[in-house]
Amino acid sequence: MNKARDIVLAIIFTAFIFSMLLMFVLLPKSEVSYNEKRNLQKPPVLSISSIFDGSFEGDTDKYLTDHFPFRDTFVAISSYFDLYTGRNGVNGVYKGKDGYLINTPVSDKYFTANIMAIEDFAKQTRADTVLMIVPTAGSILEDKLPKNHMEYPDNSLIDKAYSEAEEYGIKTVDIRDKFKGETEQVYYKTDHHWTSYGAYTAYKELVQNPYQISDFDVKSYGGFYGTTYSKSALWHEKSDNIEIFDYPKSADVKICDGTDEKNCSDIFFFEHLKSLDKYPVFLDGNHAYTRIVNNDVENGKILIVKDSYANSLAPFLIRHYNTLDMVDLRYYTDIVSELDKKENYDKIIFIYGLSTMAETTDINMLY
Amino acid sequence: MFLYLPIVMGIYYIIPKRYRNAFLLIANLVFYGWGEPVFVIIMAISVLSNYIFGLLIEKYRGNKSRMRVFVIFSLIISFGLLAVFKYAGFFSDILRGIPIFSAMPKIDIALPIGISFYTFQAVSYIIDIYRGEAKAQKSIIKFGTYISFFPQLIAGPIVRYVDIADMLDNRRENIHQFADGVRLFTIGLSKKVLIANNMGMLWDSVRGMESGLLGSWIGMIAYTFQIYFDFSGYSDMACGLGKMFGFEFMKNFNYPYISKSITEFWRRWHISLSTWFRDYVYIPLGGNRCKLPCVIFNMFVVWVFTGFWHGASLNFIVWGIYYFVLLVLEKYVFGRYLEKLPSAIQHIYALLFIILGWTIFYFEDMGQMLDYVSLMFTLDGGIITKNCASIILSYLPMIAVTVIGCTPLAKNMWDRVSNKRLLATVQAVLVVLGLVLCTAQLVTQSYNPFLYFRF
Repeated sequence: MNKARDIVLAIIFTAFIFSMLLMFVLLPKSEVSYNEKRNLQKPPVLSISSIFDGSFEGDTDKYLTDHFPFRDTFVAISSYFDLYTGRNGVNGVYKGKDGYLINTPVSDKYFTANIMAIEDFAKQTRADTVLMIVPTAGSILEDKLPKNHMEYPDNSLIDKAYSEAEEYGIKTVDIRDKFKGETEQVYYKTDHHWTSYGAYTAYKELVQNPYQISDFDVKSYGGFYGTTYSKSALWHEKSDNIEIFDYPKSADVKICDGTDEKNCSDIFFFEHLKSLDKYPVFLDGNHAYTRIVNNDVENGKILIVKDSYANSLAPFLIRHYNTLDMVDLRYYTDIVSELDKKENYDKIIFIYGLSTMAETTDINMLY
Repeated sequence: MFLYLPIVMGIYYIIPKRYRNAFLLIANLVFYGWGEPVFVIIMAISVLSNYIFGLLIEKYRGNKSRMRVFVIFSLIISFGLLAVFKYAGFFSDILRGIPIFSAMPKIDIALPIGISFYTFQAVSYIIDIYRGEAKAQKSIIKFGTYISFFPQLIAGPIVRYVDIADMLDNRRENIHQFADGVRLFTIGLSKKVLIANNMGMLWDSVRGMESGLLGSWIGMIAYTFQIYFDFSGYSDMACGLGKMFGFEFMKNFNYPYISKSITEFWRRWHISLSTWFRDYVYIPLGGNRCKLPCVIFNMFVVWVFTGFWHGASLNFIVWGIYYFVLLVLEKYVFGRYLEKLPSAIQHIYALLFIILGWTIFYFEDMGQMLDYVSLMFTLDGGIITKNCASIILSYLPMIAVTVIGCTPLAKNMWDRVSNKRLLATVQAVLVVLGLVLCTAQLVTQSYNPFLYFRF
């Protein structure tokens, strides 16, 4: 009996490590990880120099962990283990009520510096400047969060930023109350962005005579798994629907990344609905510089300095202007104040998610 | 782990017995060279020199003065390597603080992993031969295998040569020992991956936020757990792997946090290190068989070096002296009274000073340490911030498991169950569960720093 017990243990252990090795060798390797949105490590190159400078060893380790058999399954086991041992949110995402996966609170590291950069920019431009900060989902959907959660700093940060910005003559647009009062879904459940309806709600605050929902042809597409889903690794959560508020007449879009230029005749890029990451259906995702022209409107020329939140908002705004330029400072390498001087915009709108505002440094590069 | 281990283990058991040590040596060197190939050279120097000096000492047995010369030479090489690769930067920084030396360049040498462990093993080998407690190893392959054995290379235990000499020559791997090894390895892995890593995350979050009085204590307690489960987890894994290859190592930890005094704590914590210092430093100095000032001096020497062994930084020396003071006080001042107190109070006393000790141990920067200690003893940061409470609350189930894991409770309950068949099933299930969960967490966190890398 005792011996049998020992043999069982020995077999379990050896079977476990050998089967992992075997599966690692035999299973096909994928080159990209969809959930992580990155390329996986390529096989290490063996050479005398790569062994001695340690790069062969390092690359082998990365290759092994990146192509570990059933990697996604193991990551999920780990996430569910964390969740069920009480540590909801330990990987940066709370599993909330009604299938909401919500990012944990941001740190406010660069927030003040970024606001100051916008204020300095506003001082020197002759265009009207507008600032809209999109609060994070967690600060709006208080009732969807798990009972035990950390405090969201959004309200105090936005209050402070807005009162300061107004002193510099910047018009601020506060969407918090509208969002909180909304019964429809304003944030995706599996993604950090606002829904099209959320963007529509924000749009109504930005223009004087907004179009009504009935003016649009709203179509819904299922199977959207966004960023918070990937981050949480809770693969059993349900997918979102992504809605397209289509307008009968389209506009011309010019997308420019450095020297690459692309002209399109539609503001929606429906081919992205076929892939897992569906949010780029709006303006093909983030690009350094995008120009949208609507020939149905005679004048009005605005600039939006933005992160990805604005991508789903711009299709609404273009109904009111002839030309709408968008600049994403994470990719744009020219100087925005020069662009402003050249194009002579009527209005410049800053549209930023609070997380970008608080955690990135690119907004400093306005001029 | 899943590439190296099955390959090494597979080949080890396929090849005939007489090649096994040689194969292990190669496997060890590959393991060691994996991170920093250059460091294999340093290890080779250590192995070669101590191998030769071991033979020389044996050859001149009977000629005391010549033996001494060889011992001294070998110690100079061993500690010389340690001094250069571990402590040169530290001393040059101190010297540079003195005006005359301020022009000295900053010395920045990468620390070879495990050098503190294998140097101490080599020294134990030389001294054991000198004392006639062990015979010199004739085979450089076996000696190399002893110094470089991969399971305990990085984090101990420090194995004395006499304890392992016989196993190097003739060991018989058997299924019972292998199963024991599986059990111990899984326990060690779970301690490290499931508990230590998570307690480390708790400590990191608390440290990085405003915490308050209670919060800072719980943060420090989390670190207290982390360091124990990390270190003893590695030790268990080492012993477990050792068993799988037919070696038996001594137990390195014996539930240190259930101690009732600091003296008891050091009998239960990192036993192989305290034994080493006792046998090769404290007793040769005269131990406690001399006058009181001499005993206190001997203790002082041992504890300064124990502290310094843990890392080339001032705080580790302070940490050593801190324990020196506590141990002297227990031995000569209040130890007697302590024993008469209710045992609950003794436990609280011991834990309190252990936790404070880890505070000194953790912070290399004295200013940061004092800032943290002031958080622990004043209400400047309030009792506990909301965010800190939220984090701690979410770790509560893990903390509960960890506390139980610090005591022999689970083991006692396990031993009390009489239905052996049930136990066998439960054990098999637990091993599978442990391996799968640890694999999952390891795959998820490619980020996995090892706390004891500096030793």
